Amino acid sequence: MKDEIRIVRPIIVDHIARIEGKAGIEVRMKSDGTVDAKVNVIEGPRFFESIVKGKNVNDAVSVFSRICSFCSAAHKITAVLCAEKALGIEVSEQTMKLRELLYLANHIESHTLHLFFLVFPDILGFDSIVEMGKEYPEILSAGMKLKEVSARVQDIIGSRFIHAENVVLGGFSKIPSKDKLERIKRDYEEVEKFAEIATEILMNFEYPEYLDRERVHLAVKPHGDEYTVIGSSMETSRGDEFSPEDYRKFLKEKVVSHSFAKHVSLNGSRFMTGAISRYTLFKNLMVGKGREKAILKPLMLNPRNPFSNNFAQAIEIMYFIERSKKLAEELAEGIKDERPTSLEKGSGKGTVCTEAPRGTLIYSMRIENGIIRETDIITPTGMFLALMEEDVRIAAEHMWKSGEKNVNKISRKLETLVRAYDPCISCSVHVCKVRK
Amino acid sequence: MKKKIMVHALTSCYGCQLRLAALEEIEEIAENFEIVYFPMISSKELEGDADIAFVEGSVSTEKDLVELKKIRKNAKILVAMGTCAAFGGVQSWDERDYEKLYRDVYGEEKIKFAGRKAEPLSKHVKVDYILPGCPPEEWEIKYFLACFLIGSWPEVIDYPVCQECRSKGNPCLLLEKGEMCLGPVTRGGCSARCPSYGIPCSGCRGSLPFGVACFDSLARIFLEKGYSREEIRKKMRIFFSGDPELEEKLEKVLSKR
Repeated sequence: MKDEIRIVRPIIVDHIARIEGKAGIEVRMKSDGTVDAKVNVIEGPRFFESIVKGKNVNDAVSVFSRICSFCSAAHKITAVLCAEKALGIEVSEQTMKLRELLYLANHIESHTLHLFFLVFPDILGFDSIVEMGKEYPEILSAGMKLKEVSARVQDIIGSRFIHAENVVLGGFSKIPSKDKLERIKRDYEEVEKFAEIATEILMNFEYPEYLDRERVHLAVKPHGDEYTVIGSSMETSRGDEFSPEDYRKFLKEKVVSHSFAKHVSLNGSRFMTGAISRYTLFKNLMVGKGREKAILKPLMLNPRNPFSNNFAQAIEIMYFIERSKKLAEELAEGIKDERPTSLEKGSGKGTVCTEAPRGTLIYSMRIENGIIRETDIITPTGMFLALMEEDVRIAAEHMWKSGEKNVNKISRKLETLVRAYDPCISCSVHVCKVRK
Repeated sequence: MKKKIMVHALTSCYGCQLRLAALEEIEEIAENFEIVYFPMISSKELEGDADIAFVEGSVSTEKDLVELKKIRKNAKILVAMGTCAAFGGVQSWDERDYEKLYRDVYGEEKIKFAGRKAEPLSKHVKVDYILPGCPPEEWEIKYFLACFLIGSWPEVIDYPVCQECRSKGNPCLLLEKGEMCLGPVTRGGCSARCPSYGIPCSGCRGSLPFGVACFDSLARIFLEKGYSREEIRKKMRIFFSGDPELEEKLEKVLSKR
């Protein structure tokens, strides 16, 4: 028995480049041809859920956005929604629309950064966006323009790109003017054409077939009748539908020794969440150009392959820009200077779910007299980590068995696979809590 | 010869380097400097020394500490980029020790990498410059780079957020509205970003340098406005817990005599 698990040759990547946060891959080939694979999450813990205990809820929601820069608006908005639910604060329709516009800007920015800065250099054979930009300046400038506009929307509505402070309990401290909202619409109109470049680049990319397999997907069901990132229940590709209050019945967290991020399972199995999961579950609610493009390329959006996630992100950039234009226009028409509805020292419990750029994000809080007593956060990266790790194992084993012995080549391909998932290591590490 | 830059992240949200990477002028920066290490955006592996190291994040694992010491050895100039690197950041808000926090989050389960209580870089190595902010303002990142490019050095901002806030003509959130605004003790440079949106300053750029952050006077005003001792201390600790003078100055005003 001992002979069989003799390690032939380990592949160790200490720090995967071009992802958000610090994670590594450790693959060990055994003499029987099988492979052992681990995604080591070495990013240090920050104990967010623990440090906010006993603190003022307004300060806590501000600190939560600091969990991650790539998804800071997602964390801020979700934390605020959660606190409002716990305290029974109702907000206006205008507030919800503004929040959605801000949230979509976070998606557009995050997907753009991921695709243009982290993924495309891979596909086109460069070490970084800077080198890629020398050869393909039009791709670099397309990415920069998309980023610029989506960051500006976050500046205008949220007060700052990265760690928006203008989102407060009950609404917004300052409402953007009609002029600014009209500018948002115009800005998006100008960069719309650049979104298509992303889908064009990805078209030349072939997915490795050996990763095709049955996958369970999870996403938040959109609140209205169109595809979006805010909603009040979750659905799975197995046909389950559940409310955020029931999340603990469906989702279980466990500590693994090689990771500061816990692994989450859905009804006991590994699962996917993210752009491809949203698309798979709710594509019928998508409208406009994004939808038209997607229909033409069903194979690029194969729910059985993890690489589809990147194409789904590119489609979402197109679609979210269209939706944002609509929202900005509607808001500009009747924007009112509303003050936030606030309930200073309330108490209560609440759980909410939203779709962050990388998938379903759950926040749960218990508040007493305006002070946080308990918080639980489950992030998308924690959700798909176990599935990603299994894919790394399958890919390494396939390459090894089909005769690839060049360790550098294998590790490069494994890094590309990890990148397809767009893991957010800061998120996954900083927010895990033991359930007793 | 171009000056060499490396960009490292210890434990953080990656927002500081995201601001740097997402600068419109990133191409110009890459033309004027040699970026030898920037793993968030480049697969290039680290080789040799650099003139300037930008380090984001707090020291929160044993690995972070090893990496930081190596960076210090390899870099002529070390810049603590952002509030986590400079002062410990939001992760040092809590006062409990590492073991307590660990147990609260991971229970009795073991993880093979060793973590530690979040600390600023200066607890372990010499820091040459502080680039403050959570995240830093774009102008200031560019200002730092420009200074290094011409062989100069960045000046320390020694005026409070209030200076810029008043010159913008904003109503005073502290005196006029009685809010817990930390502007008077916080480093300026953000053009009073939050107070201009009607949001009290939370101190995210860190406390004023050179011992002029009057936590005591401000705490007295907060007491007069009706805030409790506990509220005041908790508020100031979000971003100032790394300031060695904080507790001493607060003690003068907040201790129950």
